[in-house]
Amino acid sequence: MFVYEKALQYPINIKNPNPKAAKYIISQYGGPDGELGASLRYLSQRFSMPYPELRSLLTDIGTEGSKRTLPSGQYLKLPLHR
Amino acid sequence: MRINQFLADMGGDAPVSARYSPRSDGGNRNGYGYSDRNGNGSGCGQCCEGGNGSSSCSTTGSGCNHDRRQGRCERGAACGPLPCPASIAMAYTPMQQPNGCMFEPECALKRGTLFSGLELPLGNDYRVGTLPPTALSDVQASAFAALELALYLDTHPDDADALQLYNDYQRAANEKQAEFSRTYFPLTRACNTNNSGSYSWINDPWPWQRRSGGKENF
Repeated sequence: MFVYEKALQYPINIKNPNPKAAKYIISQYGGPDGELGASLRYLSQRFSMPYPELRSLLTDIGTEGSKRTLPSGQYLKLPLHR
Repeated sequence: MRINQFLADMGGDAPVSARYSPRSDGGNRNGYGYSDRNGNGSGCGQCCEGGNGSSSCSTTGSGCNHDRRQGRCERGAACGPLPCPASIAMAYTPMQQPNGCMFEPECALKRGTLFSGLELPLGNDYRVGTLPPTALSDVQASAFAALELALYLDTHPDDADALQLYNDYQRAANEKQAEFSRTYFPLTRACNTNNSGSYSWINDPWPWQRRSGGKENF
């Protein structure tokens, strides 16, 4: 299923903690336009996809989406971290 | 041209006559032979070579010579980054062709994409990011390049060159990841060697933590 990799996709070094940025980032988390919902939709729609290339594409996009969602929480921590 | 074949199969004529080959003079960023956003590049003029010549046809009062069926258009007509005789008010998604150039993995991670044709930054801001020279950024760059090729191969599974490159990049990424896990800390639970006598997976650093003093920032 899923493998968790203990590293970000791109290195981040936040020099100035910024609660406003954190507030904006957390707004991307949920709701109908949230990334979390979108990745779940991609992953669920694989089950009725007849073409293998597209099944694979939906999987990869859904996975990438999850990578974006989960780190949103840590970007939340990073701007607040001293 | 695949799109022409597709349209022919659907029973229509083949209106798209764009050349999907990269310019030999390297004239344009995406290598597809389109005009860029400023209307420069091969644009409309090149793709209409070999059309019907100067057969007469009725045009609008503005003297516009843009005739989809005849395959004619003039430079400056509103083609944008699309094939020259493209219909207005229709949505197109050009298929990614296998002939754009690719960046090196490290450069790809900085630019955000492996494929030069897909480098379309917001607001045309082509400034390239920086990558700190840490061990982890090496792993990240390798893994990113392999991932980009994997996404490309989803829709182009028979591209033998891309497949070969993917195999090489993925193998390199796996090796780098294994080496990093041996040297610093395990990147996945399965790479855990647990040589220290305790379950090292639970140890820091997790991605949201900084090393003390922020010196080597994974």
